[in-house]
Amino acid sequence: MRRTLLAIGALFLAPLPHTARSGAAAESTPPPGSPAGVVNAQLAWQNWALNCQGCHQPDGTGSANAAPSLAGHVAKFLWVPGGREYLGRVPGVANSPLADAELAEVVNWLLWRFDREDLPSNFQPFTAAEIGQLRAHPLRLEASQVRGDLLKNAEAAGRP
Amino acid sequence: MKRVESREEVLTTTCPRDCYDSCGITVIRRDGVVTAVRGNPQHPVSRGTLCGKCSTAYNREWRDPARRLTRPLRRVGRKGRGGFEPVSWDTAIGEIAARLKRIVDSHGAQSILNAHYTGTISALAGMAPMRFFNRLGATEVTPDTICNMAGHVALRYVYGTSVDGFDPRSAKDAACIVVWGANPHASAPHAHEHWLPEAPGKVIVVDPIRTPTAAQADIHLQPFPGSDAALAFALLHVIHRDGLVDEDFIAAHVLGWEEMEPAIAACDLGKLSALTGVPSALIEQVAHLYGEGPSLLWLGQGLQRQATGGNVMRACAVLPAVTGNLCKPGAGFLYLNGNMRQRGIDEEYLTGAHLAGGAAPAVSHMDFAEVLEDPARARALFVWNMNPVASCPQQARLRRAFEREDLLTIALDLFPTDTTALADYVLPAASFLEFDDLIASYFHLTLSAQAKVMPPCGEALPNQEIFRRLARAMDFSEPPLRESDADMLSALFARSGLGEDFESLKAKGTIWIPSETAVQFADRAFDTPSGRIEIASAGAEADGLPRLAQCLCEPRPPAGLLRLLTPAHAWLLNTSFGNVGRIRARLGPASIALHPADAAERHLADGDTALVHNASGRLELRVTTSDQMPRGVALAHKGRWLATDPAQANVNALNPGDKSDMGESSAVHSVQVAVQRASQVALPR
Repeated sequence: MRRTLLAIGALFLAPLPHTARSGAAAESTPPPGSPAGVVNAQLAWQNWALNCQGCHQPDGTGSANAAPSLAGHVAKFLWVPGGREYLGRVPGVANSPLADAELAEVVNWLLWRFDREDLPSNFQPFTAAEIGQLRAHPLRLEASQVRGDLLKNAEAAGRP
Repeated sequence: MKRVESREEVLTTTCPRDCYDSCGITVIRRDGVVTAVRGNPQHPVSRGTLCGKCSTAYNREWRDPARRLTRPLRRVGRKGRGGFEPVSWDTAIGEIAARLKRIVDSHGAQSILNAHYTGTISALAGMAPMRFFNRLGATEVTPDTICNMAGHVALRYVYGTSVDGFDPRSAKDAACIVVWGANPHASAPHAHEHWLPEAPGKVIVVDPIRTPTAAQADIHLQPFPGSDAALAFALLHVIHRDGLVDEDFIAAHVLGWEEMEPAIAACDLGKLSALTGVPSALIEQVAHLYGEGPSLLWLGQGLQRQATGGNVMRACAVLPAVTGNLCKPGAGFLYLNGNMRQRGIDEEYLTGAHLAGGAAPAVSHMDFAEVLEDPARARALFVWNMNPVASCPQQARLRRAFEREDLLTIALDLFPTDTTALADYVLPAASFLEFDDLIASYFHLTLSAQAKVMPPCGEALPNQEIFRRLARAMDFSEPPLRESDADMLSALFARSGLGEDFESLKAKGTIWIPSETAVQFADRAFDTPSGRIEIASAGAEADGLPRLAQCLCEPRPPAGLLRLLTPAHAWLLNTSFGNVGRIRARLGPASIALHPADAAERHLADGDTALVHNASGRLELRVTTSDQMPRGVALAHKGRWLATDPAQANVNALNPGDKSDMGESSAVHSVQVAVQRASQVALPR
């Protein structure tokens, strides 16, 4: 099937921003160095390559009708209320076969890998517990509507 | 009645197909007319015999004016309806240039796409047209992304080069030759026929399919597709466990082994055996043969056409480094011996790299359809040395893009193809028999003359002459755009330092460079940032990849799906020869080979018609059953032409164009499909 080989469904559906842990105002200095909240970056890359890359493409630029671009977009969700939660509830994440801890590392890794410039300086990495909580309430048909709303909010917040 | 004496000449030239062999050819010419094209008995590779496909084509369609394109054609009527009228070269070139100028003014030169690949691999016809495109500022559809870019990127991280492989002559000194992910029977027929059987060492083939080359090997490892990196780790584990690591070589030349060693040591051979499907005992046997060496490792292009193909290549590239199978006779690795400069061909000079006003815009073949369907990004398209409608992914989408009435498409070819059928102008290209050129094999370290042995068919012109005429019509005045073939050949030899000119090479046919067997990396210099073999790569890390190759195995297909492999057919060469009558008859209907158990599970038997489908497309294929591949793997060969198949599609209809992990390169061998009896399902078209 198209892009099912590695991608068990699309990972993230949208380009947008929200912030650190609780929707507090984000600060926009990009963090240097290695990805926060990633103990084993090589394992995170493996999991990305085997579960996400098929739809989102190796460079995170996405593919038409299958998965939107992450590159230069995905951390913008962290800048608007509801965006952080969205990243854990979007179907590709919530329905991933990965365990919570591995999934949290993949999310933290790809935020850094594909959009570190938009990572808020006070970004708190996702934890396994948080991902576990969020993925327990997966977005379903409403996912694209949620994504659209978040995009509008992000644009209004000055991070189009 | 006066009897006229027939005059027979025996001429030599070289085959320019996209093939490892680069065979020497003998042409028989009687009374000035070519009557036969055969293998050159004196040539060390062809030894008097061409492969079946080349022999068939070169003695029939290739020289048949009724089958060739012989005049420039201009479209009439709706695109794709097949209506064309002959026009003069002056008319075609003048009209194309005028339309290009308007496009440059209105949308910029980057909206003109340049798609080309290896329809011929000769130097002038393959590279000199790039002078025109560099001067124009066109967007290049990056050639190697359809084929082998992931491997190039991966090997550059490790060794700093992907194009300076072992000298095949060094097989005489090798105790072991591993052919991994290549099928010489189809893509290097003379290597299959002579080079491998004559090698004194053990031959080990790693291939998910039991190809004829695998069948004649001493050992065949048959991993499930996508598990090659895990197999490389398994081999490394045994090499490490059993003391076959060359510590001295590593200390002197390798960077990062200490980072990788713990992961290698921790591997569970039993688990890796289960993952790959290769028995542990065979892994151990091959690890010993390879590790004890001296060993050659041939990494095929098929190996890296996977979603994690770059990682696979990096993992395999560790094998020579840690066993010291480098820098000595009978040792080394080979991907493609594509270093033209090593053979005296200055690529930058030929392509006119300096004519580009900066970094040329580029797009991956995996994004070709997306770009081509966008009128803002693509206003015109040149296609030469390529038949993308048949050879590129996202076939249905790409075809629709080609059908855009507002897209100006210019296609150069020898024959009417699936691509020329959708062009606005079709320009007849000369065949390799019709002009002088140079050929550097990408396997053997040879340089050969391609000699003109007959006049062009009709009004056909060599690629490079077509672009010289276009450059003139575009008012491009730079001297490189006007340089004749003879002047380019003279300049190449003058720069080469080989002490040859074209006539002297033509007299010899083929020369070896160097004349004696070369040792790979004899100077122990590696063109990496550290000057060492970089098992751990900061460059890869900076590019968002792991520092080290990963012990990675792509998941087996979910229940009900099969992994589809679409390699080359022995009677086709990419899409070349898909129009040759005798070859089409030999190919028969488009087919898919299934493991008997997979076929039985689907209530399919030999001769049934299967519907093969995925989200990209659907195709009806004739079923053959075969136990030559593992369960869960289906095999359907690439390269058939759309126009000659009832489905008007080929296996690229099933290829979504996913990219490999490196180089925006094709991951075509990771495609998965559902296979059912054709009558069982009715999917919307």
